Formats: sequence, C-alpha cells, structure tokens
Amino acid sequence: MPILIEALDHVYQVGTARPVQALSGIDLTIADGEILGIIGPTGSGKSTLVQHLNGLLRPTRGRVLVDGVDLSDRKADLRAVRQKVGLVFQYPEHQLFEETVAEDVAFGPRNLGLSEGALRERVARALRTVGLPAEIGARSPFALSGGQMRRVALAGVLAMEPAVLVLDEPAAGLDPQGRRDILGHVRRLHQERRITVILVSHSMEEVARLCERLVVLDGGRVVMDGRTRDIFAQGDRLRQVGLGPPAITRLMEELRRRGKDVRADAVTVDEAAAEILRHWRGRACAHA
Amino acid sequence: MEEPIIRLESVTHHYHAGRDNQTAALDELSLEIAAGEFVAVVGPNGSGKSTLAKHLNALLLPTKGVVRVDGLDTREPAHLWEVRRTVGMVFQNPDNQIVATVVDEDVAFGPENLGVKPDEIRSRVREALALVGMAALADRPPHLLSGGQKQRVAIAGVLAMRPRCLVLDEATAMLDPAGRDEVLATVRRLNRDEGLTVVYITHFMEETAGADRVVVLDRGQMFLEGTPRYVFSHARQLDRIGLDVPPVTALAAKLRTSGLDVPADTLTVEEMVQALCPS
Repeated sequence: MPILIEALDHVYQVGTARPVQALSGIDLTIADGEILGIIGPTGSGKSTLVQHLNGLLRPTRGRVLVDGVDLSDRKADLRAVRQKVGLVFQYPEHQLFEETVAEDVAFGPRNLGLSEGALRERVARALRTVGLPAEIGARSPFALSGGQMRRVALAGVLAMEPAVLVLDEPAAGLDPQGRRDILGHVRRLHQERRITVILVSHSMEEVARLCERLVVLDGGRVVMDGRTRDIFAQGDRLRQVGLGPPAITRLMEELRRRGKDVRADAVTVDEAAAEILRHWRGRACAHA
Repeated sequence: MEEPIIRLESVTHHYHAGRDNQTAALDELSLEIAAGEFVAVVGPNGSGKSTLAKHLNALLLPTKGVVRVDGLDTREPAHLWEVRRTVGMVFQNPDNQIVATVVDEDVAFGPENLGVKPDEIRSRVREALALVGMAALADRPPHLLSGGQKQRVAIAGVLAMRPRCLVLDEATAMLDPAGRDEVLATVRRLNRDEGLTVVYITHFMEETAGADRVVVLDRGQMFLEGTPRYVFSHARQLDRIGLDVPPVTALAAKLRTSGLDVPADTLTVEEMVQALCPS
C-alpha cells in the first residue's frame, strides 16, 4: 500500500477573491510499513496534507496515489481507499455518538458486510489493541475519561483494519500517562502488524521517540525530509521554521559547542545517557 | 501577614451533588496563593485541575469549604463582580474565546461589559495589546492569527479588565511549540514586570520549570507541593500517578543511577551543561 504524492498543490477557496494556497509542490513517497512523523508550525499544511491521503480533500493540482489508485480521479473508489487508510482526527472523541462503546467501534465495519459474529470479533480485537477491557463495550462512551474516549475513537478506526493509519495529534490534551498509553498502542500496532503509520504532531519529544522518518512542512512546502536523528541534528534549520529540536538534542548540541565529542544526533533520554556516560565515565566531573 | 489573594479552606466539590453518581472532584483541598506568585498546577486527567480553576473566579462554588478571593467569600452573590474582576480566566481553545471580528474590539469586549467609559476603554485596550506584544495587529481579524497570537489576544482581553490574578487552564494545549513559548513568555513577563499573580495549569511538565511553586493534584487532593526542583526530584512518586518529569530531569536520574554525580534536581539544558562542564 505505498503512497505516492506528486507535485501536489492545494488551494482553499479556489475562484474566490481570496484563494489560500495551503500546499505547494509536495512530492512524497511513503513505503509500506514506515512510521513517519509530519511536523511543522501551525498553518504549515499538515492537516491539509493528511486529508488528501484518504480522499477527504482532492488535489487542486498534482496527484495522490494510494496503492496505485489515483485519488484525484473523480471515478476513484474512495470507499475502498478509506477502508485501507484510516484517519484519526484531532480530538476524535468529539465524534463519538453511539449509545455504547461497542456500537461506536462497530459503526465503520458494519458497512463492510461482515457477519454479526465477525463484527463482534473485530470490535473486541480493536478494543483489546488499545488496551480497553471488553466489559467497557457495554458502557456509554460519554461516561469514560478523556484518555479512554480517545482510545475508543482510535479503536473505531482500527476496527476497519486499515493498512495505513494516519493520526493527527493523537496525544493532544492528554496527560503524560494518557500520552504514553496511546503512543504505546500506536507503536505496538506498527511493530506487530507492520502497518504504515503517519503521525502529525506538535511534540518533538513524541516524534523523536516514535518515528523513524520526519517530514518538515513550512508554508505548505516540504522543507526537510529524512531520518529523525538527521533532522534533529540540524537544530538551526528547524529553528528557522519556528520548531526546535527536543531538549535532549539541544543538550547534545550545547555539549558539542563546549568541545565535547558526543553524538549530535541523540534524540532520546536513553541515547543521551549512553553518550554522556561513554564520554564522562572515568573522568573527574566536579560540580557545585 | 498580608492576606493571600486566593485562599481555599478545605474545599470539596461534588459534581452531581446529592445524586447516586456523585463524585468528589476536589476533596478537602486547602491552598493559599500569595499576591504576585507564579503557581503552576499539574496533575493527571481527572485530578481536579480545571475544577480548581473554575473555583477561583466563582464559575463553580464549593460544595463544602470556602474559597476566598482577596478575602471575599465566593459563595456570596454580592461578591461575584468583584471576584470576577480580580481573577481573569484564559481557557484551552482560543477559537471559543474570541467574539469580535477585529482584534481590538475583541479586547474591548470585557471592559465594555464592566461599564468602563469609551476613552478609558481605548487606553486599556492599547495598553493590554502592548503588554502581550500584539499592538501591531490591533486591526486584524482574529481568525487570521496563529494559535499563539489568538491566545495572546485572549489574555489581552482579560488584562483589559485589570485583574490582579490570571488563571490559565491549559492555555497552551492546542498550540505548536512556537505558540506555547510565546504564551508562556508573555505570562512570565506579566508576572515579573506587572506583578500579576499567575495560576498556570498545564500538562507540559517542562513549562513549570520557571514557576515559584508547583502544585501537584491527584484525585482532588494535594499530592505534592513545592519549588519545581523539589517536586521534580520526586520522579518515582510522580510516575505512580502517571506524571513524568522534564526530559533533562529524567536524564539526570539515569546518569545518577549509573554513578555519574549530577544533581537530581537538574531541570533545564543549561543546568545540565553546567553540571557536566563546570566553568
């Protein structure tokens, strides 16, 4: 299910006095099984871009090919594409509406023509995947905590068993435990089922921990694209677009500036600890 | 001793009070906030942070106990105006707080409702926009601003009512990193230069590093309280209630476990550099 984006432009309010160019000349190839982060300041086009991946938005110019199907083609079967590409919006719990959790999760796959038993099995599996107990299926989604509601919404998309999962700020507004939970489930899905994950995030720490590759958008263009550690090692370029590398990478930058020979591309606490210990172990390290 | 600007005396708040499903969102919470203090409030989802915030300007009233704002009991209807003038609130979603089609009209909305005279309103609006660094954008339509800019307009709208205390309830949760920095820097400056009392509720632990005091809530009760240094040196307790410490503090803990002698309460990149490369 590779995704191929070619020379994609998107203009909002085409034909009005004030057209807004949201995306310009995006070229991007996403291979099967990748876990990719999309970062960029507010208004850089992140949400507009991901809404092209399942045909919610159509290109103004250029093409979006999902598994060979051209989504800009008016005759493309968008229904089939939306089964393969699951999109989890920002604050997806605002879209819960059924009386019970199980009904809510079943809403999408119900249209797939499954038997009642197969449907129940899918719902149970999706709830299990996001770490919710089966009993919760009988409850009202509105009686749950914010973190649980978010996971129910994610389960609703997973119940379609998509090959590509697109998440727009999945952890926004959750507490640290809630963030760890939801991102842990996403990571496990990617590792165990090798589904492609595309994650839009404002949190540099989050994408540093989760994503192998980063695409940086600014002003509707791709300004950087590469391995996460290579992107974060270019702190100055990131700062130019109003983003900063994670605190850990900034620490490594600062240590190198002081002449310490540590890797510039450490992005997680564990990597930084290993680097610092390698360099400092056995040396005198006085401090006040 | 000077009367604290905010005083909670054993405050309990029940949603659905008297019904079978009543839950204590605040459970006998006592807290004092001194004028001019910068207090950060953190806690897991459902710990009572927002319920606390809404008690500070009488959007909610205690089921039991007393909340005093500048000495005034918030349950007394006659105090309502004075309480709301003293404590201004900024919420999470900037788009739900903006009412007018031009920035300066939006900022004027609050003082207009207070019955302030037009000349005075104009000068207050100018001053408030200058304080948040938005004077140059006074004639813009708010919907064309960035998230951080919108939140600064929301803060200006509150400032134009001349409150003595500003309460921000996850005001940066929906912003990008640049927007978060903008809002936090603005609030810090207002606290430092204007002496405004700030109650700053957040999920981002690293945002609390500059606070005078961090209050950690869990299930409606005080779980930990103290300087950021003190609170974040309790990584294990915080982890138990699902909170984390800033990444640099987590790194310090890891280095200490491996025998490298850096202070356990290292909060920022600068402090870690200082500990590793003392100059």
